Amino acid sequence: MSSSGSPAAWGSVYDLAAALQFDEHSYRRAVELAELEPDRAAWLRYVDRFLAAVATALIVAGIASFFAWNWADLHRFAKFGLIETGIVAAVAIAWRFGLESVAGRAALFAAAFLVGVLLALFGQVYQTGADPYGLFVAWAILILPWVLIGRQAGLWLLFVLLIGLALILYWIQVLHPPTGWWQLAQLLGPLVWLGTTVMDWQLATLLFALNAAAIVAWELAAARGAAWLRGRLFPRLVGLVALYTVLAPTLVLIFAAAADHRAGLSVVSPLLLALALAASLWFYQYRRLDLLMLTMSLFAGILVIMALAVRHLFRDFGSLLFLAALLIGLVAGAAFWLRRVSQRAEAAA
Amino acid sequence: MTDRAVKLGQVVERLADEGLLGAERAGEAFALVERLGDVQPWYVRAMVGFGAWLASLLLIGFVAGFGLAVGGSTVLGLVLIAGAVYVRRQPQVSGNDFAVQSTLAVSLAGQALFAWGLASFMPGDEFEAGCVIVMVVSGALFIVFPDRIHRVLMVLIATSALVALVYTLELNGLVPFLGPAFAAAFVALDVRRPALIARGYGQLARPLANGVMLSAFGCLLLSTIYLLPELGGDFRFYPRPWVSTLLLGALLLYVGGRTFPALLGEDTGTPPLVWVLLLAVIAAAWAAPGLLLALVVVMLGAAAGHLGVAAVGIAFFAIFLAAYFYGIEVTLLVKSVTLIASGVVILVARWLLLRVLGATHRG
Repeated sequence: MSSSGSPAAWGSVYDLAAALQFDEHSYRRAVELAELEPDRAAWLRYVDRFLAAVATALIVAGIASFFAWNWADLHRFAKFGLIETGIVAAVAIAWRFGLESVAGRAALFAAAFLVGVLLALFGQVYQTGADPYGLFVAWAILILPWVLIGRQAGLWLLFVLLIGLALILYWIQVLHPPTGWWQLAQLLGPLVWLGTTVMDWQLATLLFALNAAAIVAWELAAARGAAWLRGRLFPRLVGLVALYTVLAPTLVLIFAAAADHRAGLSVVSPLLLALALAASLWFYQYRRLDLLMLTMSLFAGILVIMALAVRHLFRDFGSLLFLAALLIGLVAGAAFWLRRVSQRAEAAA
Repeated sequence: MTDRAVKLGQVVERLADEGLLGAERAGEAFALVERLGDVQPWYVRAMVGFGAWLASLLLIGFVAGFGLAVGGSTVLGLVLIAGAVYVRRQPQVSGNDFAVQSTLAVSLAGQALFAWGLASFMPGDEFEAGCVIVMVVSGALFIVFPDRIHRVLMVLIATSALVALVYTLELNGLVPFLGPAFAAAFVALDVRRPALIARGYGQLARPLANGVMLSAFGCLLLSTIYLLPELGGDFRFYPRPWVSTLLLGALLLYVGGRTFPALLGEDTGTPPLVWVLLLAVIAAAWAAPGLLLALVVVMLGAAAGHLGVAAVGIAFFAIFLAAYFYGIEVTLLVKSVTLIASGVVILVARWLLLRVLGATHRG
């Protein structure tokens, strides 16, 4: 019994105590036995990592704000001097503390971020007139050596993000300036506008390939046992983006199939989505259990099925009852299946 | 699945060995251990919740298709709510994903129909009464509908109605108090957790804590919204954000004062250095109160070993930072000074804390 129970996580201990109405002493003892509250060594780790990451994020965001403000009274050489001093200082900290330390990793990430601020400042001061994609390409190339030696997910995420942005901007500004009504999305802000760029199936396919390749490379390298690749943040975030690049155009394609709004859409996106879902459901079930990736994949599949059902089965208000029941059934089935996968994995462990 | 070495069964065994569970409750506890192994992770519950919400929209569309009269939608809404509550309270339903999902969707659809009918009954100037009714109904459903997702949603609906009521009554001066008040409720529930469990409120306290925490996040995000004077006139969306900073700062001091003595040793009070550091963080984050809320939540989550809460606090930190960065209430220079000052203070705090804690740890 004791060896086969579920892990004594915070939620399980709480649920147990709440269901049996533990008195205060019993609850505190259960928390103690479950080793939930961190000891001093664990606190030191938390303080070290969390505060370093928070401080780095605040400082680089503050520096970006400062240069975006474009203080006219500050001479351009002073601006360049400030930002370059920041880069050199960050690299010096990374060198001093080492790339395995939290301080060193945070400093190297800050240096990589500040390179982009430096390039943006260069464009701001000299009004080069260059296309913005050039900034992201140059940024990615300049930080590549640090990405390669840094051995941290954050740097790789930044690198993949920069390549993706460069690709989008090059496609839209140089190769295929868009003309459709999707351009109205610009009114809703840069993030929404970026999200609608996948309505061009060729660009969506390239973005999918980029992110899918990044995940495959990560998982292959992780399977070889590199310790720093054990974290799941990178594959999950990149996986979410990869899924989005083919899911969004697929959903729009389903609903716009009879309308004349499918100019940039193609059946390639649904095919890639089907491929991605099949690969994800197999790999993250049998090769490297990841319930979050499985949940994302199942939910994407449910959305597609529901979109097809709404598109083809909706006749009148009466059919909405069937659609509601179908949705409930699909989600309940997905939750049931995920529970089975989890139980199977625990039994095998 | 997890690196946590201790199993729930081992905890129950030790509790039973130490006589903290009677013979009868020990058997019950071992049976529960088996059941609790089935609890789904948060992202599966999020998928279920989103699916239920979407299904409720479809159900509302289905019912609306009958072209019910105003009174009809109110009555039907109440019937749907009552039916969902009755079914969900049946013991055998808990283990059935489809039934759980269905009751959730039907209850939400019933509430929407009830609210629609109510709004149609009332003239426009009785919106305030509508908000109060929504709060009362949500409060009642929070208690009678035994589902954690539903309870969190009820808290969110009730707090949203409260915020809407404050704006409707043009009491905008109260808005900066709401986020800190929800955060204080979250802290109080966290501090009183063992006592609440002992008194049998454990099933309610957890979703209530999660709901008020999310509500506090929502209120603080309002502080990053700026209405152009041309659009808003004299309307101040979030007047005097420093009020929130002061109140959340007090909360941070309280949480820090509880956390650090336990960390440094039972007989040691909170060293003056820690107070100075916390005050410096509060001063640096003067224009960005959301940063203090994130620190409070992360600190509580880490202290309790509740990694989910700590992770949510970190996620809110990132979201608030992005919203603050894009907001246009203050100049980029003010943002820059706020962000860099906060970052430098936290960096100094980290260095000093590691020295103090490291020395104590070694000692």
